[in-house]
Amino acid sequence: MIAKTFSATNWGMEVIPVEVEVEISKGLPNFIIVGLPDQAVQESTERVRSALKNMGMAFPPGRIVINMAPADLRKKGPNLDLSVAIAILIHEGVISAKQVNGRLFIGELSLSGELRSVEGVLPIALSLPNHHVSEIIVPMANLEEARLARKVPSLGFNNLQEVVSFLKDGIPPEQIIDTIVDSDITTEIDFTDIKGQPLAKRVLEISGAGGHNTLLVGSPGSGKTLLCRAYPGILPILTEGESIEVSKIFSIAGYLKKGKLINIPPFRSPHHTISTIGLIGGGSIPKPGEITLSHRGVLFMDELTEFKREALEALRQPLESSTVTIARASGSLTYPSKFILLSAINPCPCGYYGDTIKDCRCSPGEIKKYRSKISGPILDRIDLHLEMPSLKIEELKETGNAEPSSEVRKRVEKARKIQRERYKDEKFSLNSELNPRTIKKYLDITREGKQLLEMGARRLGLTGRAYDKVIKVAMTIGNLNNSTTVRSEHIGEALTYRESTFYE
Amino acid sequence: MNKKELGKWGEDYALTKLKKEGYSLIVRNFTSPYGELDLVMKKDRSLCFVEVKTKRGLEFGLPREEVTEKKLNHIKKAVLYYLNRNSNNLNPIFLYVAEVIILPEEIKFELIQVVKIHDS
Repeated sequence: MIAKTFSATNWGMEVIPVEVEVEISKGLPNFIIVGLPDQAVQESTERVRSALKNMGMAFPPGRIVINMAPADLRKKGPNLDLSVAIAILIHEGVISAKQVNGRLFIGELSLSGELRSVEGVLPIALSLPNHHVSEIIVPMANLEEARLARKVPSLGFNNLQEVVSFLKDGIPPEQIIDTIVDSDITTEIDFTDIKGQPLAKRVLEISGAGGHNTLLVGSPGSGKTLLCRAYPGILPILTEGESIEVSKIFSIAGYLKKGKLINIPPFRSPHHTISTIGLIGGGSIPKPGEITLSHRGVLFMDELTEFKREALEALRQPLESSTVTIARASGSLTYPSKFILLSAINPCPCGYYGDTIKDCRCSPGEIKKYRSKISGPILDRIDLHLEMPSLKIEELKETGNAEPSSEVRKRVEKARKIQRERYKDEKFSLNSELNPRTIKKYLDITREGKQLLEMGARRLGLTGRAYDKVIKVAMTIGNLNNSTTVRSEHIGEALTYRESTFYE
Repeated sequence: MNKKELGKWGEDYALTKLKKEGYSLIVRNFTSPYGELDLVMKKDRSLCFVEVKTKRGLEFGLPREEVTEKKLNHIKKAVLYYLNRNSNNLNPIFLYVAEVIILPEEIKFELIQVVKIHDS
């Protein structure tokens, strides 16, 4: 006799339904799993054996063969433990086969038979209706996550014994769900706490409104890092669709907080020692990297020049296409990576080049070498460049409070709403996502604006891409001024964010 | 009863049981450079190699779980060694694990087939 149960595993952002088959024959005791299991799945034999014994259920002494279909796709993680244990119990006649029909089992077993939470429950729960499943059985700790999908009924269990008695008599244990609280954006630092730097704040506002990549150049202590840390505070909360996208990624990465859809834009700030794989994603079974974890949010790269060149250059393709495709021997995976790149650097190794107060101690050679760490193609993909002056004593002494982040956020939200309405028939919703074709379609520019743009482009020697970026930024500036027409003052401001001594 | 005596006792027990089932002993404790064959027996035209495992109680698992892949390889080599030195035209050839569990109220005995070779 062959017993069968259903489970599912994640393959990148995709969900693979897995059929777990068990065959037990006479012979010396043996327990093997076939069907491309990874190490964690392979080890489930020991967990299942021990869990069954400790739950007081007999473990069959024969040759046990588990097959996981489809056999050609790699199964990963411990979330198949429960389905293996259930399949064995069906084979042993403890549970009848028809009791598991239409049910999907997910969960990691501890040696004592408790069910542990697993990764990737949300994407699995979201995909269920496509796989003809009428109920999903998950560890209690994952119940809230499964319910977020609101697609199929889900039941949570604390241990294997509870699952077995439920399958026998149909009475589930008490379902414990904490109330779902919507989280609000709170940052440690608010714009109101940061003195001076009105121009930098303006740039961040534009960046947030249109989703533009931003580079801040400034001497030490000018407030770059502080401003960047306060930046998430001016971003609007995610829309429902965005929130599910982000939560799915976090679920796969195992970072989804208990029972909450993530509704605030993620803010990731990897240290500059990060490896290329850590940034982009990878591994023998590719895992999402920082750029995917900052999808629909912000990737903050402080001290951009200190990052490994290889890691920086790997950002080119994701910055352009908003997705990243990672190919490994085990297969090729595509992860979304639509993020706002926010970066900060010093103008030179000593940090004071062009400073109004302190003198720079670097030789021209040193400065050149320092700046060459960031390649032209990367700089070209950054829409907003700003050199921040260091604060003067008078500015530091200022007592009045600056505008709070919440006020700025209101303007950003308004500008985003204008964009969403304009692009409601498109697949994107932000100015930064426009491509040459859609720019042509949506650009409404005055004659003076056009003249200024051409003049500026010639003077700054802009590339085709940079030219488009100026237009996109100008459109966002227009949106912030409640206008969908790009006028010369919008172009003028956008051009100033392209003039940077950093290119000299 | 120490470990050795227990093993000996188990072998005796298995031998009596098997004899009742129609097996006859060819040789007991056949030694080879690879290890020992507990019982070599014959039933009709078949040749049977039996590895006897004995245990008191179940708290340390089943006796059959003691037969690891490594031990099995040793036994298989010993079987080949035996076959090379003895011709008896018996066919098929079986390799069994005989399990003897001594429980307070009864003694459990089970013969588990591991390998069957058809020589044609």
